[in-house]
Amino acid sequence: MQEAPTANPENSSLENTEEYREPAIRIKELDFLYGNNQVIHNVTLDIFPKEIMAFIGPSGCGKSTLLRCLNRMNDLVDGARIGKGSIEIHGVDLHDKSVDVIELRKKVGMVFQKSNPFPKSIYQNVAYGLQIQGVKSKRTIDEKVEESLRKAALWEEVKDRLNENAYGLSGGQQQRLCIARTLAVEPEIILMDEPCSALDPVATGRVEELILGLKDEYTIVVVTHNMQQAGRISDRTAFFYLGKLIECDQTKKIFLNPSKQQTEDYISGKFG
Amino acid sequence: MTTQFEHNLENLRSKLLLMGQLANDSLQGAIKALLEGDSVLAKAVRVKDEEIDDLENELSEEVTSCLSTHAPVASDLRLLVSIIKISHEVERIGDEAKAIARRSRKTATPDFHQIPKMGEIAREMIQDALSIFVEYDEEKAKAIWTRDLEVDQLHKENNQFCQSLVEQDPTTSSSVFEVLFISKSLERVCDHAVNISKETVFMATSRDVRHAPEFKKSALRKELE
Repeated sequence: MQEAPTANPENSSLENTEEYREPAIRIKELDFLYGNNQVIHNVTLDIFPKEIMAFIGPSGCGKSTLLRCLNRMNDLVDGARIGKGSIEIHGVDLHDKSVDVIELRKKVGMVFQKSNPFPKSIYQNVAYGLQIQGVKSKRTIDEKVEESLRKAALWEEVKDRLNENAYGLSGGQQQRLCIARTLAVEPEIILMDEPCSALDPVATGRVEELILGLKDEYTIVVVTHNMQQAGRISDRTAFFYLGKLIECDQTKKIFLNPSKQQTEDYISGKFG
Repeated sequence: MTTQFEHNLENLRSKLLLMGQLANDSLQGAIKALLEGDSVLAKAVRVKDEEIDDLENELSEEVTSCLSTHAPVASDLRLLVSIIKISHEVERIGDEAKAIARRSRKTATPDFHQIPKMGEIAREMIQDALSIFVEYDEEKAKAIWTRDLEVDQLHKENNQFCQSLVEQDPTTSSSVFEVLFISKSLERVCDHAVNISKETVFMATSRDVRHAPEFKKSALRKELE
């Protein structure tokens, strides 16, 4: 097996260019392990505010693990730990003792592969996050529910049946409801783990439109196995292989003329 | 193991090269028909153009099918986009060859001045453009663009030559104009060869040099000076 080269820092950071911006997320030389099994190797990557970053790579390459590291979802997995390196959000180390994980997950929301609405009404699904935060005002919650459903491009479809069970929605609508639920708690960053993999092309198109619409307000990191989807929605794409970041560059560049042969072979379907 | 998609790409490459070779053969046939007054050959060139047109249609259909079914990316995508564009340039070369063959029947001049030389350079330029499609060579591509300046100069000389012929004997103007049109056709053929080589640069490197200021004729002329 060919050794995966380490990431080119020039491609994973914009520090050396005129476009330099403070990253929203800074991953520095990160090693991550499940027990003794190292699944992420020395990954360094900056993700900038209000950009859509796509993580691509074959199954088992570590992209979902890395995504889950970004809001410490891996804390829930026995034996999961950082070997070395760090992840910072606006300069704050996520593993610093001062970090409140609940607050972190409010700030860094997550949408999963399979839509997972609560067995409650459409309204309750969106309101729930606010209620557990202690928001009591019915008016504030009503406004936030409507705003979130509008942002998730679902309001027009559900406004007359807010009290119906969320399970009555189609798969695509359920996924947009989950996005609305994430938006309600006003995150700054949204992580999406294959958000369209269970959806038909029409529903996928709607979710993609929604993601593009959210870009003005949120930093979005999306894991996808769908190369065309990465090409359609992301500003930059990072390709991972065997836990290593092989290449990160502008999406247009990755899909037209990637720098690394491994990237080209993967996106062209020659392996993976 | 070669996948069906890779097999398709290889077939498309071969078909484009065949098309290019046919167009170049047509052009040489047209010039031979012109210089030797061979009307049978001229007719054969006109017939061959249909074959070139058919190949362009086939390539267009097959590339569209590949794009829609495989959604290619990176070098595969660049190859397919280039095949579509290059096949159009080759088809235009075929059209110019047909035009030269058609005009060959209408010329009665014994002196074609720089036409034979232009024809020979055009043949080489097409050949070189097709060869860098097979094996990329940027220096060879640049040599084609420089060579095009030489052809422009020869066309200019033909222009002056034709002008002087008409001034000497205005009754020959109709025949002389045909020579001038043929010269223009050859000049256009060489432009198509340049376009093919520029598309090849995109195919190999993803750089779009079609309108790059440093490769425009004026810049290349200055560089030569």
